[in-house]
Amino acid sequence: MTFEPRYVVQALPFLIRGARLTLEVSLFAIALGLVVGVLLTIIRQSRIKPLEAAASIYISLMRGTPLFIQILIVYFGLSEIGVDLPRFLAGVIALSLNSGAYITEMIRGGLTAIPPGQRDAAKALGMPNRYLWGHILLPQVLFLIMPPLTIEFTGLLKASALLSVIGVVELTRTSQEIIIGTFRPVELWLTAATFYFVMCFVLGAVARRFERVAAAYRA
Amino acid sequence: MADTVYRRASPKSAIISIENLHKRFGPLHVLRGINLEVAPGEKICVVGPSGSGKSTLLRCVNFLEEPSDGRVFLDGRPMGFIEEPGGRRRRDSEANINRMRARVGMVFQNFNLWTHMTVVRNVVEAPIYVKGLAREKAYTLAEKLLARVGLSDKVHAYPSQLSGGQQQRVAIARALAMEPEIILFDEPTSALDPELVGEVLEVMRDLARDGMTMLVVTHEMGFAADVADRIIFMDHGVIVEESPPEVFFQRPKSERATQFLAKLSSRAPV
Amino acid sequence: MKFDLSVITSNWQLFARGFGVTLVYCGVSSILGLCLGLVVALARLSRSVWLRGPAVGFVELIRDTPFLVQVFVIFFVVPASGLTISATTAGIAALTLYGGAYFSESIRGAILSVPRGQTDAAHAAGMSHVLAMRRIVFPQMMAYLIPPLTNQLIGLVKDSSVLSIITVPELTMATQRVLGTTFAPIEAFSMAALLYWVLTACLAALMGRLEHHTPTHRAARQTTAFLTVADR
Repeated sequence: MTFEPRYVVQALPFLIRGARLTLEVSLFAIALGLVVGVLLTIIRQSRIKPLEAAASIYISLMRGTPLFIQILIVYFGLSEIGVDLPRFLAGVIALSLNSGAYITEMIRGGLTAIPPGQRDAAKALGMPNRYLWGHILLPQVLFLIMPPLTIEFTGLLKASALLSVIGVVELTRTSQEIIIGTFRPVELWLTAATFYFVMCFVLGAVARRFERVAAAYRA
Repeated sequence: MADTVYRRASPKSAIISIENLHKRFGPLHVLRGINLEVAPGEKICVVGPSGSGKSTLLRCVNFLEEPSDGRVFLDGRPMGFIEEPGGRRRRDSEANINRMRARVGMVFQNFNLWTHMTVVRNVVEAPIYVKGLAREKAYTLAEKLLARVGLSDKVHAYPSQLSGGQQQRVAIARALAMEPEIILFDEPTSALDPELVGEVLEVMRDLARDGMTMLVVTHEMGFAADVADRIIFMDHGVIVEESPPEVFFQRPKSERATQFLAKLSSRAPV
Repeated sequence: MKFDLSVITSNWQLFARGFGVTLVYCGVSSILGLCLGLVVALARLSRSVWLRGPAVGFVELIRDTPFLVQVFVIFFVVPASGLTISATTAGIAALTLYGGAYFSESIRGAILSVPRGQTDAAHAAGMSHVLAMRRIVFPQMMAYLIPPLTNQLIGLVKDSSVLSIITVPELTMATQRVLGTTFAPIEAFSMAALLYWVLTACLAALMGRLEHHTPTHRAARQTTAFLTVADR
């Protein structure tokens, strides 16, 4: 079997649409994941023991089991309890629930980089907790975790390929569907891989840039 | 370069002979044409302000740094390079470099003891694995050497359990275990707390009395004055002055050496 | 919604067999991947561009594409070149290449973490590169290697679930077979998740113990014991 470029050319418009959906689903997932991560952080700082324990178990489960299984549980679980969500939304939810567990660890790391004196200063000024977190800590943390967050985003971009299994027509699913019609796996898979590679490579370069800026801020 | 007043070892009998040695790190020209010969049994102290290239000189001698230009001879054999007909040179085989390094001991500023091994294993490691010495012989030798540096009770300790002075004495025993023809000392007391300097210098004096050939980079002027046959004063990558200690410390010939010594004595009375 | 435990109890053999297959696949691929990772790490640290270039390329290629797509490329694209490849071979190959690329990064980092002076001393004593690596660098790098390696091994176990898509009969595939007869996805997948969770937790615990036995930690433990004695 040879490599026939014309099949690539033919598929290109569809693959580009698929890649757009891959980017969109990842973007929604990282945004929602950030929300989950912040919520988990707040719960873990809440000093309410049962809540803290629940958060710990949640994080351990999310990090200790395959994302693939998590996606399937969310997808089947939602329909089982009668929530009929679009596949796209189910995918975003599954990815962000998983991502949140990793992001909260990043936030934890970022918090340790902020000198404790800043908290003391805020408290000395009589600032309520809400302000301390909303105006002092989180803005700085979000800036500090930009480099790992970008890497997490590339991780989600790659992980979103798994959403093809629940029928989200992103890049991988698009390729599969074209292959079913054309029987050209070589052209399609190599092209799809190239698409992913370019996206991740560019994001990797962005992450390194962020890292330099963040390093300068820390110093 | 200053004239040599002191008798130089003739090239034939020299253990180490350095010819027009240059070392560049990118745009940095650290060594700018060093010539030096070390005769068997000779003790040479290299002194000079920091950044003058003293440590780089030592590291070039056993090829831890590859010289940019010039040659180093060990016992008449070029170290690290093979001269090809037509004057081109290429890097010697790794095996040959290692064989020659095994004959040159080195003691580092930061001891560099292998942290995952006990004291005695640090000492026996190279004799067993590089020289192929039998295990029992290596351990007997190690115990003898550790006794010599006064650490018989620390044989099975780990480096991190020892003081800096003790670690450096182990490092000296480790170098001695290879029965080297010369030992290079790279500021062996600079990383030590002041009260630990004495014990290391004492071991080094003992070695000197025994006739070991030593090339020592140091800031310990007292030691240099006592032990050295010659003082080499380096600045900005060249040898500025080369004198016997009594000349160097009493009436240095160069202006820069005079300034260097004046600065030292103003800082800490000798 | 009810949680029907009989789905799990009546199919425990399927789960057990799937669990076993996952263990074997991950075990074999981890060992092969570590060998590959070591070779790639050494190539990346070598002075020769001809070794460094391909090594960097390989790592980037693996890191910048989804594991699922790698599996598809190996399973569907490689056979097009005339090579017949079974799901087993494709699965092991995919996991090995994937693991190898990530392991190589950890191994490289661990090698670079060993202080320069340690190898200087080895070379000054006449040790060859190989001997210095074997006797000095490898024993010392273990302490730096194990923590990141633990995370990557856990990642490998989790990502092995993707192999079910090319019909490797591992835990996730077995779960889907349970699903075929029971139509109880929540129960079946929860059980699979639990088994993966146990596996990754055990792996983390095992690696933690292993870390305790690296030469560096042995030396450190000895030192602490010594200090307590000295304090008394």
